Amino acid sequence: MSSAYLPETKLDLFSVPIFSRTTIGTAIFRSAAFFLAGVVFLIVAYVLSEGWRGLTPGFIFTRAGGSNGEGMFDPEHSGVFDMVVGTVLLVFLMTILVMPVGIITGIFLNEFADSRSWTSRIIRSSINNLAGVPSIIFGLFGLGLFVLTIGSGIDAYILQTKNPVWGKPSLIWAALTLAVLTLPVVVVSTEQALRAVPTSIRDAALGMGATKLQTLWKIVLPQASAGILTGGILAVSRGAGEVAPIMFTGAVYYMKNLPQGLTDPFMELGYHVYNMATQSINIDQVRPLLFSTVTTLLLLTFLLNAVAIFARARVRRRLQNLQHD
Amino acid sequence: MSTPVQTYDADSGQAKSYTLASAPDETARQAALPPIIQVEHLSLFYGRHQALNDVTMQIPRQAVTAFIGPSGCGKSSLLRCFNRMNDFIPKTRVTGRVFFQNQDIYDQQINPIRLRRYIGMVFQRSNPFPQSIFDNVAFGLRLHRLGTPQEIGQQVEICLQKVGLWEEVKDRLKMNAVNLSGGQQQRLCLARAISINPQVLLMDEPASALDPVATAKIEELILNLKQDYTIVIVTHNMQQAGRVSDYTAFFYMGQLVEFDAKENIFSSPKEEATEAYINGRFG
Amino acid sequence: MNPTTTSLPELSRGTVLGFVPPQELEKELSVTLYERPGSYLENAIIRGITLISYSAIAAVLLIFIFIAKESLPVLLQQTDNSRSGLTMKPEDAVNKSPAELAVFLQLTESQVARLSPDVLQQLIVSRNEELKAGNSPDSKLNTTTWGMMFLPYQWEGYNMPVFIWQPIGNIEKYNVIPLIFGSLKITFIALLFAMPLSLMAATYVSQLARPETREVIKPFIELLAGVPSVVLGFLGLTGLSVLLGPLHIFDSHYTPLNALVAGMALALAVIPVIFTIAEDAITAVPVTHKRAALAIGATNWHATMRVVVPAAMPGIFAAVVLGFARAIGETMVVLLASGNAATLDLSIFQSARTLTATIAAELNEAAQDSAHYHILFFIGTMLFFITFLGNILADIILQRLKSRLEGSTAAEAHRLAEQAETQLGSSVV
Ligand SMILES: Nc1ncnc2c1ncn2[C@@H]1O[C@H](COP(=O)(O)OP(=O)(O)O)[C@@H](O)[C@H]1O
Ligand SMILES: [Mg+2]
Repeated sequence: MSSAYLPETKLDLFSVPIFSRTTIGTAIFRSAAFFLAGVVFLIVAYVLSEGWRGLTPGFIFTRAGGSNGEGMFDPEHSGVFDMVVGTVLLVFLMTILVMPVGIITGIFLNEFADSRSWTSRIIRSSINNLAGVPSIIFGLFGLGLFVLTIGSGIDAYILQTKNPVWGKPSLIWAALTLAVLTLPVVVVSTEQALRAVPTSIRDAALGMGATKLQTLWKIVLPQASAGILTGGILAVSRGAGEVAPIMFTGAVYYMKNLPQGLTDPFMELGYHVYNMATQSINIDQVRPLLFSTVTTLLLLTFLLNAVAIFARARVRRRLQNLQHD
Repeated sequence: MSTPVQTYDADSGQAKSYTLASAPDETARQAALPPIIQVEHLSLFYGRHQALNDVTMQIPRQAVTAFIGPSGCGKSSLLRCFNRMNDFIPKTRVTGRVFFQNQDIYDQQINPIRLRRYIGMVFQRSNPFPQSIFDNVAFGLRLHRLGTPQEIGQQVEICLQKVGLWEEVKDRLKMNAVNLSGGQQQRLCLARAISINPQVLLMDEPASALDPVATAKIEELILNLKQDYTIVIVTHNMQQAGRVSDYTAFFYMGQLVEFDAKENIFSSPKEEATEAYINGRFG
Repeated sequence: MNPTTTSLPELSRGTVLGFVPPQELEKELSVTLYERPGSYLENAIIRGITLISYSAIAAVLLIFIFIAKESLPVLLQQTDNSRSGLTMKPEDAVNKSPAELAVFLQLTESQVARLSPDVLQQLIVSRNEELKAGNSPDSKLNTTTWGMMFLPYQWEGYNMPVFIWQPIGNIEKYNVIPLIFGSLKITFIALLFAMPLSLMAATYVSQLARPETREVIKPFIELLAGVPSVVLGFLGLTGLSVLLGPLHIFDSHYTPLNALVAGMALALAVIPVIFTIAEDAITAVPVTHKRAALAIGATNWHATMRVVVPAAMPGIFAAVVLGFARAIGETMVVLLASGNAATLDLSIFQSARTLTATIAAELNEAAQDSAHYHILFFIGTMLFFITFLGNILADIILQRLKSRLEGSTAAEAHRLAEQAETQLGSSVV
């Protein structure tokens, strides 16, 4: 085609059609994104607006049953102290259990295993699967393995008692169940944090005659520690919000005393929300209590998430600086 | 031909000038010494891919040996064989032998970790640890438990002087090394590599990511350091090989095509392929 | 210039740390190169690390084993709950274990434990009468067979075969079809909302939005992943069900807690899953693809829709698969918001009961080792397999996509990286 055949037209570089596929399509997609962000905002605003008034120090530090245990659903006298204590103990134990295993697995996958080897492929796909197993299945698993097999086994063969001590739902079994559930969160975050440490500085240490472990300990881990910590926070936040796995493994409807040891069951914020929402006779009456409890739970998980997101952003920024220079 | 070079006196910290002996004399002196690394029929495989094919050569002592050749011909692979950094790449296989000071470094009994204490390495991209300048240079000394803290402090200073970085950083030794400029970082890496006084320094395209001024500084340092260390440098920049090396080896497709004193390689190559490469006809 | 000439080796070495004089080098090397200080400890630690890493595999296996183990009586069809002639002598009560009593009386063990012997005997007597009175042919049925669990059956008093899940009552009915139906119905509704919204949002955030907009929108949507599912269920129960209340005009049997309410609440749980994975997949498409399209005059929209999104299609598909797995496995949302009536009604305004909610609601009431208990674990096994297959599928797709986008072999990847570095280097020198 030579230019002789081109018709004489003026180049139009300026007009932007208002109604084209481009503009309409983009507008639709944009509204979907903004709609979702708006929904999140609304949810948080709704819960906070309904619940913030009840969220007083008195509410947090008052025992669940008021003074005598009768008024668990009584918005005037009941607090969430038992649930807060139970939740905090639960996630604390869970963190202690999951962090070492998760971090070590992340280290293995990223530092020691050949990513193409079968070992690392199977471990990686196990992690992905673990992340996708429904949380209620973890509840069944925890009941079957921890409570009924290990716990009952301890009672029968070591303590030799008929009264269940370990063989009943309790803090330790719920924490273990949640630890298995949050393992992928920690592993994935650890791997991400390690991957962000440039290979070149590992080479530098190895090239100076450091062993792999020395390189890991002296060079890599100090760099990755913030990212790994983020993983821990995310795991805590995830664990604090899960109800289904602890329904059969440790959380109970009501307890007169705070848990005294690892083998005691406990009350928990999320499970309590479920109980109040389904078991109360007059839902309108417990509504303020319910919203304040939900607000407590939401603030707890959001606070943890916000810390994690903030920490991750800082790590990312530092890494970017690292790569620019 | 004599090259005036600036360097520092370790004891007084004062600048001194030297004249390096002219090149032909140098080569003669080096040739008289026994080689420090001997490579015998070395082949290297990455999985099924053969990266080096039956390489036999001797690296002369206290000289600069340059590896040149088109990208992918196996220069870096050979270099990494010298301190067994290839061990970290999964599924690599080595046949043939490499002797370092008459020790077969691919012997089963050899501890490659120990080997790297004697054969240091500088990489293509500067890779300072994200720690203070001081800690970077002290890393190897602490790692191998060489010297008291006080001695380490002195050694750090000496090494930074040797690479001409001392004046630039002496007031901010605690600063994070990643805040240095690219050229400074690479010199810091050099200081870190020589801090434990290795016998051999391996450099894999140490200046390829630097600007011309920083490159010139690194080249000057190489000329300076060869008095103390045997240096093997990989470069894809022929002018650089011409400027810094005493001996030059030309590789092509995993094979050593020609290895000779620099003058011979550049002025009267024996192989056609070498000539073609040097004249820029491929690469 | 007239510089003084000094011998450099003497100057710079002499006493410095780590220096080995040439004449001693060979002797030193012959010793030090063979030393392996601390290598036993290192090897032990590395072996320990490896061993601990296997715990992820162990966890998946253990989950499978312990759920399958408890459902084994159902899988092997060893359970039999036919009531024919099944009575208990009140005097025998003392010899029976609490578990057996619990099964017979259809109570929980702890309830049985709290009963006084007198009350226990009375209960046994009345239960015997109840069983005798209910002399319908259905009471002689074993309702835990494959047929009774998956096929319709015409119960006494019904004029056609039906699917019924009704584990409590005189005759326990364990047909799981209504539960599967309920799960699929609510999952379908959830995906109907979640899929288009999150995929459009992911595309927008990854390709169409300006960086500043992206920085605001993305964390907001990701924040949704941090909302506990019990809170989402609660919002469905108290908020959505009220908001959607006016819809009752469309259905005379409208229930305030229904499949639509549960599905919409569930969508909120699924959106972050689909959004995050799809956004990752779309962002992973090399920017060069898009630039090529832009360079021949495509608008950003066209380049995105015709080049980037098709390239990320497998990842988007994987995102939807994982979203499905999440939806079908989600418990607390549906437990709170679905109304939990096990029906086979197609209407989205009727309540529904899912597999997960059934386990959550009934396991604490099912006596251990009863047929009910084993069937709930059997439901768990089914759920495990559904999500397991979904995960494996998504895993394979994502792995493939990753290696396709990154270059298939390590050698190839290495070569590409080298080339890039060399070009970069030579452009500077
Ligand atoms: N880690 C590795 N894995 C697989 N193949 C590699 C690896 N390193 C290098 N190779 C291959 O070996 C050959 C030689 O590479 P290299 O020694 O890096 O070349 P050069 O440094 O001369 O450019 C190339 O074909 C390269 O693709
Ligand atoms: Mg190279």
